[in-house]
Amino acid sequence: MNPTWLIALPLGFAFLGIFAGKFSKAFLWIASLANAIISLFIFNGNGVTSYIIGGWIPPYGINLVVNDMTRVFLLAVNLIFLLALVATSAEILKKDEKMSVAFMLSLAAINGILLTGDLFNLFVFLEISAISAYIMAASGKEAISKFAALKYLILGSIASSFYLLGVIVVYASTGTLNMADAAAKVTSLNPNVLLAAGLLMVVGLGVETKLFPFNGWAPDVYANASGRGSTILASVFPIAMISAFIRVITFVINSGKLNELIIVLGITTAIIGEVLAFSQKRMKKMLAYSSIAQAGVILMLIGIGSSKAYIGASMLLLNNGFGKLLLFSVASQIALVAGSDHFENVTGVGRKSPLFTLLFGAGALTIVGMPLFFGFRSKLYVISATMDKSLWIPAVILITAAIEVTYYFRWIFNLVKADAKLSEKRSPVPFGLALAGLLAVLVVIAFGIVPEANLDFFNRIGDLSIQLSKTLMGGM
Amino acid sequence: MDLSMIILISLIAAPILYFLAKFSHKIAYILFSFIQVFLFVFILLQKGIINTVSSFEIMDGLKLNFGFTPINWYFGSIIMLIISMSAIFMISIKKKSPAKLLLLSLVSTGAIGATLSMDFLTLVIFWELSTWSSLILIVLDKEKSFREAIKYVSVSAIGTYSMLYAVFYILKSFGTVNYLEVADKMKVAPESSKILIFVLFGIMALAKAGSFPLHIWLRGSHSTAPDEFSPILSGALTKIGAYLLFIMVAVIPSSSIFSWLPSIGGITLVNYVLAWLGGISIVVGTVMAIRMEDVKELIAFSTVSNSGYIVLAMALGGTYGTIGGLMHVLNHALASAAMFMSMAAVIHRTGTTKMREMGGLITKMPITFAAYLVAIISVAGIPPMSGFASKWLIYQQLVKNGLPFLAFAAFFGSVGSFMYVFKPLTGVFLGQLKPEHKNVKEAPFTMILPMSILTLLTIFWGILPSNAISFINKIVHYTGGKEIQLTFSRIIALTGQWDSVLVTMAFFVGFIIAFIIFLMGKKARQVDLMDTYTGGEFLYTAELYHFVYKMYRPFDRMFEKWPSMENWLTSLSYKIKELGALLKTLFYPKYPQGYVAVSMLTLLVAFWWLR
Repeated sequence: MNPTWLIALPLGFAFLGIFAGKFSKAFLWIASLANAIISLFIFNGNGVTSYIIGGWIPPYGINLVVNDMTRVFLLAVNLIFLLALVATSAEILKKDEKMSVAFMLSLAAINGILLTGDLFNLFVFLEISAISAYIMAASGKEAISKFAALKYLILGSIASSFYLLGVIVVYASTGTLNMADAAAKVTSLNPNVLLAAGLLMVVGLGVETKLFPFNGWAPDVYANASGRGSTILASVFPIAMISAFIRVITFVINSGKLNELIIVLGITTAIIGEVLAFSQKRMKKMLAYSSIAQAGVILMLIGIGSSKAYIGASMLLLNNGFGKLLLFSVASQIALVAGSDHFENVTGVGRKSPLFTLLFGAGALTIVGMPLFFGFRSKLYVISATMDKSLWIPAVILITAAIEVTYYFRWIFNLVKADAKLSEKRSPVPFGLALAGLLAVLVVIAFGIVPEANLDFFNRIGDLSIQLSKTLMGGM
Repeated sequence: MDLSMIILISLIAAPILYFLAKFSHKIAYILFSFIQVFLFVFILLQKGIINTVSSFEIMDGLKLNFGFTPINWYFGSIIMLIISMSAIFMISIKKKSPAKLLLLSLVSTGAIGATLSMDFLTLVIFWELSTWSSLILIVLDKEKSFREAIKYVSVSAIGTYSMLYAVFYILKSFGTVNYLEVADKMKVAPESSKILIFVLFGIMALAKAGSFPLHIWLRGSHSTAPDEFSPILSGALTKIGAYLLFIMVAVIPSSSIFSWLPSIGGITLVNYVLAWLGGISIVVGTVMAIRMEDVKELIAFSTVSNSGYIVLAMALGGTYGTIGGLMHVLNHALASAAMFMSMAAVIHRTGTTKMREMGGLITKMPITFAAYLVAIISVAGIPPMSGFASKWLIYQQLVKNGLPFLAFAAFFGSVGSFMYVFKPLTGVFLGQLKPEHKNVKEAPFTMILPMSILTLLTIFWGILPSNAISFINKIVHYTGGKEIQLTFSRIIALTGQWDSVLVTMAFFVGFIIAFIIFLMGKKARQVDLMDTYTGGEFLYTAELYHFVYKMYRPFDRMFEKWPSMENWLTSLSYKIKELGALLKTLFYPKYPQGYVAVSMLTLLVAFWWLR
């Protein structure tokens, strides 16, 4: 199936949605459902396929590339997006119709980021996704979400100009924008030029992937955006952004020095994220810092770049996607029920409605990596992959994991704590949240307990990164 | 039936029981206890069988390995005995919930998987499974448990992650995680990696067994856990720590792989350090247990002290040490489970855990009293209960190696345990009945039954410790150690022999004589507790008459000023929070220009550094 539909469909619906008024909400559902189904078709297949857009042969024209990594990520992104919509369907947003346009736009852009094989085209999709992300970030009820969105806007704009600068350097020195072509040509560049271009792109993509120290926007945005906005930003966006990071930084630039920098920055991100998450008093802020820490571990693995590291990174990405889908949607709903998501306010909420505890607990347990859940399997790969690189990295990762376990369990305990202050009324879990949440729980448990043989597609991602003669990846 | 099927049944039972309990608590709890008893019997029947199965690939090349060896069988049976007895005990508990059943099934699955594991990765996976489910289980009943269970979370995370690190370090260095293969390769491994692996495993074993300096979670978690879960927590789950310890010291014989280190008193330095940690843990546990006012906190500290015995014995190694340690695992599992159960039964009937609010319950709950009495006699190591035999063997080893200070710790713990176990006995069962407990009845049958079974087993192995030791001899034989000489009634050791049947007879005769004297004496007159007055004033608060309240006040005063180890975790948490505040001001300022500045600076530094 032609993957162009994944981009065209939501984009077209977004355009229509501007004029459609009330119907734009329906368009959002249709677009995301259709995307989920199409990505399921694309998932069934293997090898690398390149789709030429506009009749120009690459490297002169733009092409879309589907490989084993994109297949998994496409399916995950579209599925999680749909689940996130279902999970937050009970939420009433201000200017709901207009917001739907932003969500459709982001869906189109995310699929574009995953698919495109062109550096400049990637920039365009990054910009589209960033613009819709700013709107999502500003969708919160309180004024502070607007301030957070403004900060994101400033940092995001600087980031995209840096990325563009990097692309310009690559284009000026190699004369191509096609990823595969550029990857073949950059090897003959002056290493300093390559490093400069790479660093500029690391800054540009680092902001979106939440690499330290470019992630200052994330905590406020995640904590204050609307339920739907923060859920999608935290669960869907990382997969697309990190996919872009993998393709640009490690597959195109692929400089050894830069990879070392990414490992160092990734570990720093993980440590700072976990330490800050430990001291948070607000549930969504804690989740935001935890997302930062997860992103740090994933980027560190990408820096290591072995087959196992890629398997671990893609597992962690998916695990983070499903886990954060659960956590953010439940946290937003709890904030509605309890009035705010402060530690004291949410005490005992889970005792009144056990389903909250189940969903939040499953999300938390899979993020911290407890056995039976997907997170544990990915943690094994993380430790195994980092152990091959150096003995210190897994030690640091495990120390941060111990901090992580402690604060996540504190929040779980807080939810089930017996507390008399809470009103006697049961706070029902909305049907959409229950449905999407239980599906996500089933997914993380299924990934946690099926035998390794059934998870072959992760191994294929690992193989891909190894046998990656660069031309294959970009799809000439 | 296949071994992995057993674990699968136990795992699948969890969600099924959960949904069943939504309809009927009673049926689900009964079914749960049936499953647990079935699992126990299944494991028990595998005696003497040696086989392994490997199935279910976790990550490339690594499978879950389960198996039966005498070691697995011994630990698996003990743990499942305690869990199945507690499962029966739970049928009549008041606070039932589907979530508890789900988590209990997972705890049981984890415990079975861990004890039947044949490699370190399988062990750590299932152990962690039982840990996280027990963590959530702890906080379900009592509000206070929230703060306490967090300590358990951190300590067990420290343990688990150090073990996980060690497992992957082993996998990377040796290419295998199987116990026996690792034991082979450890012999030729570099010295530094031997120490690293041993220390990391040691942290895990001490953390989970609840031994000094990682004992701090026991007091809170064991005492604030749901009453019916405490027996499992103390009797079964801490014993998995002993299992790992046994693998460390006996399967990978630490005495031989560290033979290049200096040895003290015939044991190598690493084992000596471990033995000292065990010794300290005995003293700390005993002193703290004596000072406790809450029954469950008291038993929790007695667990610390007894874990200390197990660590000490296993670290000493040798014939008597190893066998004594293994037997102590059995004895303490039986006794602590029985103690927690009898207290849970009392709490079930009276609704309080404070000793000074109870008293005189011997007439109301005689069987519960008997179960408690037998258990404490065993814990204190007094013949003719089974606790004596294991402690006696540990002393033998201490004498043989000539370690006076450690021997002092062991004796101190034994004497001290008289003091602390006596306190609940007098406080709860003896003395005078509180007016509000006039109508208390004996515990229901499903509570009596498991307590009686545990009690009878304690008495049986007290009269015939040779029976238990003959199993343990097989384990020691399997690991290549020396066995103890036994006859039907006698254990032959270094300084002499222990004829348990003879001693039991002597005790029995003594008991009869005492009973006759009791009958000949004047009949005691029952006085009502409130039938008195003080200084012309009538008191109406029964509690103030209770002599258990601050019973060991002078002793308490003696140890009041001692440095406490318990707060290091809390301080650590404050330090992390402070660090978080610092990092926030540095890197996450309120206004965006701050981020931009930090980003630009990083870009420049990175370019200058990498150029």
